[in-house]
Amino acid sequence: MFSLKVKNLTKVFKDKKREVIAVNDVSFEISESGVIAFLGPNGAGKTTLLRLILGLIFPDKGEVFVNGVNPFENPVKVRNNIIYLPTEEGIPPKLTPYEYLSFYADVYKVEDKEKRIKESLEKFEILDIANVHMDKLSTGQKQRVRVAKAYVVDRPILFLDEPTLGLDLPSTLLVENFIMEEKKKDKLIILATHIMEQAEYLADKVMIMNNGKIITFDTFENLKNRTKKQKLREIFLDLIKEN
Amino acid sequence: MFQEIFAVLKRDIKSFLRDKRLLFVTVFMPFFTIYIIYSLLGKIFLKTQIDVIKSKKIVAIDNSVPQDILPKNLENVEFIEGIFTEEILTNGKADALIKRYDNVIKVEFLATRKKSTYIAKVLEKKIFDKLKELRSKKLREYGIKDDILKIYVKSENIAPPKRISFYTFNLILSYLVVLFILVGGLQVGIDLTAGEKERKTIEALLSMPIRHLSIGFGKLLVVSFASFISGFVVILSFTLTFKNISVMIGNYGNQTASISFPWRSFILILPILLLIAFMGSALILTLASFAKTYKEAQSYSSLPLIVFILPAIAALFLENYNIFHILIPVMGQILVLRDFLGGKYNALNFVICFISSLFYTFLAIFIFSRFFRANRLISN
Repeated sequence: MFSLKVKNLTKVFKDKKREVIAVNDVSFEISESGVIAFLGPNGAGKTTLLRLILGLIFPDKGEVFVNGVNPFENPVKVRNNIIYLPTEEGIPPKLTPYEYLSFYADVYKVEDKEKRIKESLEKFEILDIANVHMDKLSTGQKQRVRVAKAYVVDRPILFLDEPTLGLDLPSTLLVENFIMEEKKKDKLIILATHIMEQAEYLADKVMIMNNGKIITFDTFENLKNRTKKQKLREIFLDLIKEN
Repeated sequence: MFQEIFAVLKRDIKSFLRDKRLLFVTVFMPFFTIYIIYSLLGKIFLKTQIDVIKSKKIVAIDNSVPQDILPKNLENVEFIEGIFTEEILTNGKADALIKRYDNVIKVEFLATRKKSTYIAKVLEKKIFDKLKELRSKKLREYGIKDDILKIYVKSENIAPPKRISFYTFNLILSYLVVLFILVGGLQVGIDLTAGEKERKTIEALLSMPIRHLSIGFGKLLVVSFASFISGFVVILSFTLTFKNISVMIGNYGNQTASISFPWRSFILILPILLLIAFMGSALILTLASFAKTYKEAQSYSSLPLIVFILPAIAALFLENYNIFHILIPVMGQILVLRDFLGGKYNALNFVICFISSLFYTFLAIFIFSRFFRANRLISN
């Protein structure tokens, strides 16, 4: 069992000219496994919220608890339960996929490291490029390496920020299948995405954000009933327009 | 914590050793810069000196000068006689002018021309010797013993050419070692902080269950290693460059010497090099962590360069030094390095330098641990 509790979380970015409220008094609680789709237009505050939960940046107000632990007080303990795949994440260009996965396995202290890495290389069809420097890989291959690390470290919580961005269909399917498998293992997967069909297909619950606020956080079925719309795309556009 | 530091160290050192650009800055650039500066410029300097000696020089002798004090049969020198003014030098018709002003014989020359400077020195010595010889002859004619008058004062360098070269070159070398330690560390330090941010690899790294200070220490070890390699390569390149190349030594005429460092020096300077590398790297990483972009990091990190170079330049002007000088960061290390590279060992100086370096290094690492915040790199 695990729990994620966010209470009155606010983050403001300031510079000389302006002030942007990236996350505005956000509160929610998740205590069950499954896939939660984080939806919202660009700049809605999805990435900032994920960074706050991980304790990567500090809030101006509010609290976060992951399994009862505050990430701003004990970030290492919190992060030990989470694997985070940032959007458009770069990978060290001079490392090979094997070395990259090995680094993650070392840091997360994975048991059966070699076996796990081998399985992930096979699963994501990157075994043949395991010893090639990553600056020689295609966009799709790099993204598969990124997702492979989530399999290697095998954490109960996954934060996936647009994991299929820029991928072709076969690679997208590979990643989506992986998410489905992880879901079956009773994990919590927070999936920030712009692809409504993906959210519809994968998510158990949907959280829609706009201008740093949560507009709605509900199951797809409930949203359909509430809005009388059948497609998530229509629901999303309606709610964004209203807010 | 050590396991975390080691994991980051392994990751970053692989990236560093496989990055051609960084290897160029930390290894190849110091190596070839030293080789080019000393080998090429040394050869040019030597050739220029030989050209000056071999070239034809014209010496104007004014009629006011007594003939019997003039040197005869100088190689590659043509004498012209007549009534001359300084103009003959300025219009380039002669390289030196010998003229009498009452009881003074002057050899006039233009210091802006190498040929002119060279022949004037030769003439001055020849005329001086000739006058001495004539005076002795006259005294003997009058029956006066010239034993006392024969005595004259002459300063003479008794240091072997090798020693002269050590002093001159080691001073510059120790300065270059410190400079390249910083330059090497600077590029790697920026690459491992702002570079990671630009490559978008920092966020995933920071989201891992590692203390950010462990990430910092892992990076510090890599930057210090790169800095140390740069400094070591400078010394290595210097030794190899001078192993087989004879060099002309400034004012000591046509003496030549080859330079090689005593192996004991290498062993003794390694801990000092290592401490300077740690000191510089800690400062570079602390400042680079404040930067949001590569360019910003370059600007911030140039500060340690200034902090390091000022005492380094001051050390260049110090011929003799005391304990106070050794205690000044960077200056002390340069002075002790200079002596060691010249084969001059002083145990007390080494101990003081080592302890003070250790103190400054710990201070720099303390500052680093207080101010290095890796998450600054993603907070914008």
